[in-house]
Amino acid sequence: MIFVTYWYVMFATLVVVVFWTLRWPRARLGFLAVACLVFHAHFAGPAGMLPIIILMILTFFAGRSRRPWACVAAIVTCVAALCFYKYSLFILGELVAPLSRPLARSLLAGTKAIMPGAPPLGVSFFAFEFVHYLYEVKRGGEPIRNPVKFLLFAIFFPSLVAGPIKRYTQFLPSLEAGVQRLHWENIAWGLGRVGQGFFKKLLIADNLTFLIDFYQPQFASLSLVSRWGVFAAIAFRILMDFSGYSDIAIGCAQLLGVRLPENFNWPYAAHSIQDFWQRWHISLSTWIRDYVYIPLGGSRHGVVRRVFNGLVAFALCGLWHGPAWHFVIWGLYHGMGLMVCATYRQVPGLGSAVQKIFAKEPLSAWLLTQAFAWFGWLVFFYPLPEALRMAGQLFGL
Amino acid sequence: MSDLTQFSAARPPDTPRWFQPRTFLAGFAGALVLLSVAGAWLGRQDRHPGFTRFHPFISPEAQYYPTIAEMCAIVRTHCRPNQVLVIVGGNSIFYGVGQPADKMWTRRLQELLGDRYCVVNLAFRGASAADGAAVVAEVLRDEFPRQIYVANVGPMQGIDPVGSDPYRFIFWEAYYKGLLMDYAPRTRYIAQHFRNDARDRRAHPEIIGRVWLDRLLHFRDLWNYVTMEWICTIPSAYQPALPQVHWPRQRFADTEPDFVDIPWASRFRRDLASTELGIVRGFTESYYHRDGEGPWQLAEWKRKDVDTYIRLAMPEALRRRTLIIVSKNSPYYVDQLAPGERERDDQGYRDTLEIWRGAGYHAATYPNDFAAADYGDRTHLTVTGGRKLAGMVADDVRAIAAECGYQATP
Repeated sequence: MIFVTYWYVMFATLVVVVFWTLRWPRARLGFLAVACLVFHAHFAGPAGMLPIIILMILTFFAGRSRRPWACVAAIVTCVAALCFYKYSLFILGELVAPLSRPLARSLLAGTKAIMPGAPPLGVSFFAFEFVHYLYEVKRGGEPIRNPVKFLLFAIFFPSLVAGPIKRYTQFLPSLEAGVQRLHWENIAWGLGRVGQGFFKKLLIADNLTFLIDFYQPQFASLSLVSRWGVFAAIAFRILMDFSGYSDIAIGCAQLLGVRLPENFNWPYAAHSIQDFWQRWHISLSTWIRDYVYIPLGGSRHGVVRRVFNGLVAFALCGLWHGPAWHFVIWGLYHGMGLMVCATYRQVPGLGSAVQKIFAKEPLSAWLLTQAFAWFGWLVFFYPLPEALRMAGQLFGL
Repeated sequence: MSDLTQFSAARPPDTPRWFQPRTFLAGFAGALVLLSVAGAWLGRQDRHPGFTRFHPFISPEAQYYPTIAEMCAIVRTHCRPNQVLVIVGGNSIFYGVGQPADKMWTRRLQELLGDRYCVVNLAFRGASAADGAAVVAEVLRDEFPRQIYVANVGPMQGIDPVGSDPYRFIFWEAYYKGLLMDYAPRTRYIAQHFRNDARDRRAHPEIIGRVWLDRLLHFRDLWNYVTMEWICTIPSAYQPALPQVHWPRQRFADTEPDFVDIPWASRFRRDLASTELGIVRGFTESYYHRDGEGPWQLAEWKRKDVDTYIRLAMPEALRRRTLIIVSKNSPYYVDQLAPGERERDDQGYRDTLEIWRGAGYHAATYPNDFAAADYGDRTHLTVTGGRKLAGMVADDVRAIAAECGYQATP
């Protein structure tokens, strides 16, 4: 992980020190742009940078033209690039191969020949941020006219690796204010946040990873208490790992005076699935809501359509995490959970009874929500049969 | 719109009332300086008072990475500058696998050499003759000018001048902290190494970053102190096993078992005999040819290869005080070789000694009185084998000391 490399620590320190010693806002802006380019070039290499630069130029000019067709074309290109780099092998192997093996084989060979060894660094984040930008401009939003500011929106180094997924309407004012005036509070707050992130990642998450890697293969032979211990470790590991990265990203950005959106807000305190998704990976869940769920019709066309839209949105949310079926299943699992959560009140008799229980015993709602989310992590991390086996073993089955 | 106002504020989000930025920053800077000073100071302290060798619980296999300062501190604690320092390096054979700490061969070597000499075993399991111990000896060249470096290699085995994984970190630390001698051929080789070795090329910024940051902040010594005395924060997949992974490393002693406590049949397993025999053959098999029944000829490329690398590994001045022992395989296996193979094996030892000596090193191999009972397995020595090794090395060390003019005073 890039954040926990010595190179990153030295690079970020140098950038912050130089940024703070520059006197003119324009110089800070220009320096930041150069630093982001250096960062991207170092970690992505020329082969990884090229597709992103092409998408960036396309998005910039499509946005600047403000022509709806140009924005739509650029959105399609960004999505196609994401599908190609991240999902083409999965699509060919899992969807085309069952229909025609020879076709899948030849397409796979062709794809592999033109594809780099790994997807360009942060391609999912780029695609989501560009789609957001183009969609908003198409809806009448003001495009970014300054290419340097657009470049910074695209490759702002603290958020390039693990998000949070930015909104340009938030990012630009923050960037402009950040380069305009320096505040000591930013340094103190940013350092504290970065320290918190490293603590979560290196001291908690990495040790939990070790514990899980050690005990998970012998899950069946563990005592019931130990199995629940490993289960809890799995749930806390992902929280500490991911929120640790987010803390480092948010803290580093704040050191440069830029405020990034929060990604986590005590998700394991949520009392419902909706509440959980307002607290877990917030920048992704709100993106999915704004650019998939609502454009599909959201909850405006009746229950059936609402359920369908929710499932599609969450299947895509799952797929965003990686090209594998268990991510899709995890997304659908949460999609179904949300649908149940949103509609159970309408079930005659049962709905009101459950509602009464939750109102009387809020702990039961919390327990149910967390059990649902934590069991979801089994599906997220392991192939479905193994996840189901582990779930059964938690109850001695 | 209130959402956007927050983002254009250019100040951090709401912070608790008690959070004072300037106080926090002053505290942060002060703590950083304090911890760096503590790291630098702790690096000079010997954290291994009962040091025997880098046993598995204080070595990279247990995620413990000794620093140069730490290894030098061990030497300083054990030895006086007026003694002839004998630093032992090499692999598990010289580390003393199968020899308990109180019976290990370097302890016997110390007894034989007496107080004029000071023997420190810094060998690591799986290391090469250019790893940790060689680096420490070079770093201490001025502080302990009367020093002899002793290490082992296999027949036809050269050494990579930058050491071998996973111990290369020791070389990089010394090199990038400027602790090694200026030696232009080695410097050129290092540049070439980063061009040719894809993995190290990718890791190069990390290697340099780690050393530079450590030079400034001394965090590795501080962390090793915490690991030794308080808690190990980085668990290892190998050892110690759960639930001891976080225990301070000072709680683990050198518990090397004695070969004699392990049954012969477990040490010389019949089912592995052909594999072991293959390894014995492998030392020379690929590099020799002969016409009919004529003498075995070493391939010229191999001779050149070994010769080039061992010359790059150390400046000439250091080679003169270096004793390389070409370790032998157990007669239990060697006696099973066909006569032709046996001749090739013998020739391999002769050629290896010749190449090392030709490059300016002192080189020797075990005398012929090493019997099967002196070996715990194919290659490691039992306590009795270790005593024989100590005897031969002691003689060679005394000869080198005399040749180098080390007039140590008791």
